[in-house]
Amino acid sequence: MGFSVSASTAILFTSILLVLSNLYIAWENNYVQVKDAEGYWYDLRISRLSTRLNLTSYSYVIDSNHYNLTLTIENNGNTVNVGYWSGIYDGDYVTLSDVVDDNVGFISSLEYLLPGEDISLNVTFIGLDSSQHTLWIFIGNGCGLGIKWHYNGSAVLIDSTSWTCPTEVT
Amino acid sequence: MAAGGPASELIMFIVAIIVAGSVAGALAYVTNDIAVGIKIRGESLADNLRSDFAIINDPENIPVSGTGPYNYTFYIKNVGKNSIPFSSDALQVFIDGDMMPPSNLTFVDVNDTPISFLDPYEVGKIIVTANLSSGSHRVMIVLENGKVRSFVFRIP
Repeated sequence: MGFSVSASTAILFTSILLVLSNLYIAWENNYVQVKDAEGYWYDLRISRLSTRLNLTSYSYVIDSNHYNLTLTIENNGNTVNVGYWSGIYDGDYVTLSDVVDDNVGFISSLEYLLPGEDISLNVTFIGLDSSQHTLWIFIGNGCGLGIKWHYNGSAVLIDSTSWTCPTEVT
Repeated sequence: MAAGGPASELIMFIVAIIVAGSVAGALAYVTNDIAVGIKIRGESLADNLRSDFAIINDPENIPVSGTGPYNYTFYIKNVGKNSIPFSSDALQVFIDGDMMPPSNLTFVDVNDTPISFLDPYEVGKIIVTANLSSGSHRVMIVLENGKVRSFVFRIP
């Protein structure tokens, strides 16, 4: 009787130890994984709060049947990776790396835009009419700078600029 | 009686071992189940935190084609750390609260090549076949992990 109690107690004690260690390993793996993901989530939110692009100047060249616009955009926030930028010009997606393929692109290639630096973007072959055009530039964290302009018959005028970041409810 | 003592002791011992072993086995099974549950829940939570996307359309100029019903193009940019599934099996689209049936959704990249995943920083297109009246509308896109983005746009 005494030995039976000792043996069964030993079995139960060992199994409880195994249970606790198994649960601890599962919990720790889970905790590390979630904390890592949580850190990324906070970094993304902070990056959205500390990122800001602004249109600092613009110039244009008027041709016989079209005009070309050069926009200079300054980084007034944290360093951003220019390779992750995407453009939406008059509603359609455009690549920003090359002006030849879709008439919108950077003048010079740059990997990172440091705080205080600026980058120039060309928009070419814009029809000489008074319709309003819009260019949205979205950076890697989802925030975007919108620029609206139009041609008034003698000059190109910037109508407005706007800034947006993704939220769950717009 | 002298022979019954050791026999009953042996029976008691075997029964005790069997009962203790059964309890230990049940504990191991339940624990394994809990550990798997913790792992799945953790992966799901971590995936949710690492996933993010943005609807990057011009709200005043949604690309539209067709003669009715029309094809509206919505641009989705993956701004998270993980690839996101990009198909009608994993993603739901609601316009003004109505769920668009999977047959009305087309998932392609910016070169109109069908894709099933959207890598980080990649832009994809969801082409929604619908009839929308002029005015303001709201599109809501829900990923399979529950991540939601909504976007208000205007049809002229």
